[in-house]
Amino acid sequence: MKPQFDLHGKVALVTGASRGIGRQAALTFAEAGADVIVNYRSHADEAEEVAQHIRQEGRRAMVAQCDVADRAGMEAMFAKAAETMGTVDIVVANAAYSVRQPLLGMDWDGFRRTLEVTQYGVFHTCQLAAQQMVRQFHSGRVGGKILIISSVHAERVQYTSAAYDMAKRSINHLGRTMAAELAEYRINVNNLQPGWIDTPGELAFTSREEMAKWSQSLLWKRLGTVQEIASSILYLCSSEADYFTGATVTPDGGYILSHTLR
Amino acid sequence: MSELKGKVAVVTGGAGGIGAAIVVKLAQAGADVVVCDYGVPDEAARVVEQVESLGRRAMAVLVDVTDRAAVEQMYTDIVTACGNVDIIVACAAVGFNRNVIDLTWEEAHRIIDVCQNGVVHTCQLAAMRMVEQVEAGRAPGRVVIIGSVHAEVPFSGGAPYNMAKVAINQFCEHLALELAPYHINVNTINPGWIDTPNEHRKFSEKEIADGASAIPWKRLGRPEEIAGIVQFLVGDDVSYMSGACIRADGAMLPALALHLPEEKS
Repeated sequence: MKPQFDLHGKVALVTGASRGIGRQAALTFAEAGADVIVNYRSHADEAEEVAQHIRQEGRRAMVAQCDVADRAGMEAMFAKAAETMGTVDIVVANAAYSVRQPLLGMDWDGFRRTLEVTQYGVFHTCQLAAQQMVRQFHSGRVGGKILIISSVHAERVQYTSAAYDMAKRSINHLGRTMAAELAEYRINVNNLQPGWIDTPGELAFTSREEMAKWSQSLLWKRLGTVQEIASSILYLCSSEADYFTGATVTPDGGYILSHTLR
Repeated sequence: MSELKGKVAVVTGGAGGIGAAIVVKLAQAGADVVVCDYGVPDEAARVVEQVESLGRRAMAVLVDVTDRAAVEQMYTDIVTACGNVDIIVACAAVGFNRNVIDLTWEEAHRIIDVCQNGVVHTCQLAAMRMVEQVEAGRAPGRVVIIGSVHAEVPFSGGAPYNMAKVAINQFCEHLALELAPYHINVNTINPGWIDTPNEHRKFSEKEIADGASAIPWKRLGRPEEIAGIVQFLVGDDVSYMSGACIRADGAMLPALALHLPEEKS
């Protein structure tokens, strides 16, 4: 039996899709036949470029500017997405933000902003996705895939990353709770915990030289690529993964097992 | 017992339920206790009286733990009145059951704000004081976070509560890591279903009896039983435990099993 990664007829929404993992997920969905809503906050040119790639694949694309922490904005974005694209069948809650700082002497604004995007933003995304999918269920379109992009930080705390790590472990729990609550609507809710992935966002914290050096401490001896994560995302959002729900999948090159005492 | 003589303990959510039991237990062990709660002045005053009747000093502070500036002011007031903050127990929480698709964001946010951010403010601002105290030569303080079995098993209808409780389990590890150089212990207790006045407001007596019969211990836990673990965690016997989590649930979690339809007899 051949794998069925065909997403023709599906509409996918990816938050934080202008760059990094989100961008690659959006492009991979389009290659698999899905129409895609490209959410972004501040990189308009990159988002438009992603949309152009999607249209070149012959798929519909909608660019949607919205800070995922903006509740009213997110409600409006989902309403517009459903109106423009007809349905929303796949939602990937990917957008994240992190202010790195020690807890002692921390600046609450940075801590709060990290939570607002990485935790509350995922709540908004998943809740609004679920509400849309349940409406679709009642009008005869059964199913839907919600995928939360978490992090290995959910399982291994990293010094200076408290707010981000708390948010990531917390959204895993949101995914599990929603999986239980939404089973009757046949909506799959899962968590993906990428390890250390080579993205533009990562370069904000680490230089290329540091990446090359520190990646030697990973079991796999290298960072993951955005395509490797997008492939996992495609799988979990395809009909091949219909029996996954409330699961946490960890493509991390052995990050979680690469522990040592500092 | 006067193991905690001379120590100043702060218990958030200390006016009722598990928190009040913790206050009394710490006072019995010799500590002076600050009863911190919100919107329940009469209950807080009653717990203060209980502490005073044990011959310990007590004061009530009414503060919303989500108000960071107010929590900071609380510590300033406590240090002015009592000299130090040696023990902090973050117990304040709120919650109710509603599925994610039916929650308003205001409802969800309030639960996360109290149960998660309130714990961050309570513990992190206390930690700042405790570090100063260690540097000034005082014995290291103790931090105890009251989590929930929900942090280990997410229950349907409780998403914001589940999210907050698992987040503070994680926060415990972070704070333990940062306070390790000062040998300030930070640990978490994850209680199961505890017999507090709140539970009797939320559930009928029959629902509680039915629920209790499904717990291997065949009853709900008592607030005193959680308070006993707090006393252990802040006592002299615990000197190498930090970033740890103790679950106290009458073996509820190991008993979770597939819910099969009842057989017809």
